[in-house]
Amino acid sequence: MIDDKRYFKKAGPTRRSFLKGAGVALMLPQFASLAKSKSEPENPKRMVFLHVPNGKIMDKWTPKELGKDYQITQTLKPLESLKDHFQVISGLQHKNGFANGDGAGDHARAQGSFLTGIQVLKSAKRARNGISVDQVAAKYFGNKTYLPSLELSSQRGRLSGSCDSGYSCLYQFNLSWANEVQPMVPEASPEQALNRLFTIWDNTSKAKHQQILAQNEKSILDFVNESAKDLQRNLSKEDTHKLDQYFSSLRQTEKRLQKEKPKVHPKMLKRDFTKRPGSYQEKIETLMDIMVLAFEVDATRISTMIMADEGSNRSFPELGIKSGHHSLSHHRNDKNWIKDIEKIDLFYVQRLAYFLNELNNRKSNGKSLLDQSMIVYGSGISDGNRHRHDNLPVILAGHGGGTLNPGYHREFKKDPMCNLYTTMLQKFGCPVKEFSDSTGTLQGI
Amino acid sequence: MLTRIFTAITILSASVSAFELPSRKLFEKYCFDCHADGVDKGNVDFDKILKKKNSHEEWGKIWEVIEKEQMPPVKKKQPTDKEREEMMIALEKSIFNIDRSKTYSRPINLFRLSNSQFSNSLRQTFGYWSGVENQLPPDATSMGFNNIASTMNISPLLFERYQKIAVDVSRDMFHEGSSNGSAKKSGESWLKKLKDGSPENLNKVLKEVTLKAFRRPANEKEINSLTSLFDTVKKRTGSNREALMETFRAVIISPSHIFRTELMGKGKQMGNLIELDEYALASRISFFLWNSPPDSYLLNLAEKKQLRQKLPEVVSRMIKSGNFRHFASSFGQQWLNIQFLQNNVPNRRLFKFDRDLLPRMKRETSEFLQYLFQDNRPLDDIFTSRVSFIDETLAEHYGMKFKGKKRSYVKVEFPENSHRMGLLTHPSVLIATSDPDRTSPVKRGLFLLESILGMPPPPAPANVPTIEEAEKHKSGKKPTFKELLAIHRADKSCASCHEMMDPLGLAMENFDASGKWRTKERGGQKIEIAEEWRGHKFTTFKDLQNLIAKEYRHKFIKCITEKILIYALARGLEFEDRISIMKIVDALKRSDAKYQDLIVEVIKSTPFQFRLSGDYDD
Repeated sequence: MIDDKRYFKKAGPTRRSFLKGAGVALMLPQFASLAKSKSEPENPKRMVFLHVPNGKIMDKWTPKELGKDYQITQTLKPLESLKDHFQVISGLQHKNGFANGDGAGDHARAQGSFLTGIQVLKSAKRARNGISVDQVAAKYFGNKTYLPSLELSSQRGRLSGSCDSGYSCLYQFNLSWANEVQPMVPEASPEQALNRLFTIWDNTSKAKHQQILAQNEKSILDFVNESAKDLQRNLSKEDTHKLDQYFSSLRQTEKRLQKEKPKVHPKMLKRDFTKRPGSYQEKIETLMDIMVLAFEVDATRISTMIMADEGSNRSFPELGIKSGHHSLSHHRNDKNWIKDIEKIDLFYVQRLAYFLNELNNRKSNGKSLLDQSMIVYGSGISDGNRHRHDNLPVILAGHGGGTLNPGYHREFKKDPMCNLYTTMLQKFGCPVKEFSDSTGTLQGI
Repeated sequence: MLTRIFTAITILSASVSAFELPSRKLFEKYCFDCHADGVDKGNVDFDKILKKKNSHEEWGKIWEVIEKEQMPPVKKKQPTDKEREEMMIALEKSIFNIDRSKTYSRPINLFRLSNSQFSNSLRQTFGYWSGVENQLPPDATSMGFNNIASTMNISPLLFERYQKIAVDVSRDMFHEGSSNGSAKKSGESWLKKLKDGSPENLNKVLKEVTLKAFRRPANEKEINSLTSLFDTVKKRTGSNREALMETFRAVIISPSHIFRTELMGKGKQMGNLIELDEYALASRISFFLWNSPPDSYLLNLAEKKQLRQKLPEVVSRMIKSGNFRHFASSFGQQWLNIQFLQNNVPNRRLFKFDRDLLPRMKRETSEFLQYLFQDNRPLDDIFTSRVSFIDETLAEHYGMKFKGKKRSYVKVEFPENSHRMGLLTHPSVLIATSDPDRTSPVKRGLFLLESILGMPPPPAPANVPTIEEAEKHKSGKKPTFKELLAIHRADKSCASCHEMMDPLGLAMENFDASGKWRTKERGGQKIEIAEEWRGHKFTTFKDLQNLIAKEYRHKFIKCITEKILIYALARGLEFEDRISIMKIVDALKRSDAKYQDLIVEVIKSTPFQFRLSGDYDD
């Protein structure tokens, strides 16, 4: 509640200063020239971030040995057959996940900072974060695809009207942030995501209708653009933020109109996406299918997914677990509770294994999607019992189009998570020197 | 509450000490035992703070702790309300340079419609009855409400959804083959007005639809752009129908529809406050009481500038309207935090309970709140009324005879000897404050403090042991739940808050986790209530309810006023709002104050009637 002045101290750069390079030091912000580059590779790179909540039982997660010949651990077991395709990265931290004087609210901070590295503003009244790593990538490569980036979440809304200890709910609803004030709200419905991203081939009548609409679309957008400009006068700062969001959403729509909606043949659909997923597992995997499909037809190259919101208190009756995940994560070393958490940790890693296998099975030009991807799977909390934000559980999967060296367990000594992100951005082809609180890059990954 | 203190306030030179004030003795009396002269409990040391150069943050926290009555701990001697006020004023004046005689509200003038408001607008303006909330990404909640302007964002995804919905709505209105009866009817009636599509008729149609959708008359420029949009599409398709369809599509996604703005007109000025023009006021009132845009009656009054003049009449008409149910369900359910009740299913292995009961119990509470306002009941009724509203299924669950029509909710009155009395015995509330397996006196106590009394304790420290943890300390006989809580409370770091929460929650122990009356715990132990809270003793929950209705009446009035103001203004309360809140509370202190008085007082208040002018430095 007592807050706002801290924003300038801790929260991220302003949207404008972003472009000046205060937060993300751009070497050359030549978006346009990048966009027009004709030497487009056959096999573009993809970037994915998967978020899981409430930390892990770390000694069942972290391999004991470093290097290539590490022993797979209990929680990572589902990934065993994929060992050459991912690396376990230990020792990274989000120092802005810690309280640093802000008191309770570790879950809000953990998810808020997970992809931004920013100490988020503690206020129920307004939210301030910073641009997230995926959106930096989208600034450079988003214009090449139908959607600049795709945000997904397995959860629609929350169970309660208030969120973690005096923080805005926005931090736990969202993972990706376009700028300090604008979260990229995720899609939770597989069916709606499907309709949003693709034209299904044999649906000709619909496609024809879309065409007629598109003709008029521009005139309509011109009108609303004009109206928004008129509104702009006399606005306070807070209001200007809102209208900026309207403009940027509008611009994204305009750009999308110039592109053809990717076509998907019905045969490419793995399942009936109009059917409501029967289980939580199915829900997550259905969303993952959407993401894989989006990569397959190059509808987008950058995606984030909230597998569960930070602080999620979901119970897992399917695993015989009646208590909520969050409650259990404060296990206070109770053996039974720890066992339950281990099962939940395993559950989420199984979904990761599903996703990686799906990517691995999609091949074009001799390369699989997994070869071309860099995927971060992790949590902004390591020890859920004590709310630690260091030694985070992180997996970096995929070969990043040949830029990554998977197959190892690597350890870094308290390097910021953002060093990983900076490294990824560079390997992805973004001309950035640093990102958020990064102090350098991670060598050898 | 305190945001402003730490931001925009002109900060006094740090050398001024707070305790060159007569109220120093109050701080000495109530605070210094634990927080001065070498004692610094909880790391709070007045000596240190006084010496520190810039200590606004510390003083702000102290102010807040005094205001919320979090300190002194309940076991210590408490300052009177007047003394608390004096201490707060002392801090305001000397540290923060705040003059209580000046009040003003925050400068947000752009309110994105919440998903339900957007949906209601489509229904009211375009006859589109199929709710669209499910197609929109959920609104974020802040301070318990999902309409708070500062956290209402527009994301590319949301904008795409608006576009998609606009396509659906305009197609359902204007396509020949549309099967959406009400939308089609609405479309046909617009086409009828358009007739041949002559410029005059088009002008009339555009003025009318924008008035409804933008909740104010469109300006000339807007009408011109829409006209040229219509003409362009008409040239392209040769059809009035198509052209109107696309024009309406533009209206739906226009920022003037999606955002409620309050920037029109130049009303009366009072300091840096500007009185809202009547159209903006009509919108505020309408979204407040109906969660929907103003209807033509309100817009008419605004046009004639008669809205303010006829306020009491307008309010009473609006409360009588069927649309008022949106207030009861939207504000009511969020205030009581029962909007997600369907996720709180009591464990069916332990309780005879059907999941279908939950939406009905929610409805029961909404109906009850609606009744309090529509029948203009006295404020105390919320605690003491025997009235409730049930349908066939609830009647069966409660073991009552049902005499109404199928699927209808009928008014019933519980007998004098019933355990059911007032809102706090509603199963919705009792279940929302329980775990699936057991009651939670802590959650219930917290609920009473936060949502009914407006005295929230500070947030729990991280890593507190749970109740179950406490069980391990006890050997031998299985302790009662109450004993377990007592063990938990014995932990010093927990005590000061739990002494506030637990007795209140324990007084509700006769209602189990499914909301049913019981006299024994599941283990067979008898439930005995003998609680003491802030010097009051009670042995039944009814005692506590009567205590709240009588001695804590002003606390409740202040609490509900604050919640309603947050909801009505769609923003968090600021320091300056305190004066207006105090005025409202004063006006409602008389014992015959009624629920419509509360609404009228809120609407009459300065923060509701005015907006802040100009840009605001934050």
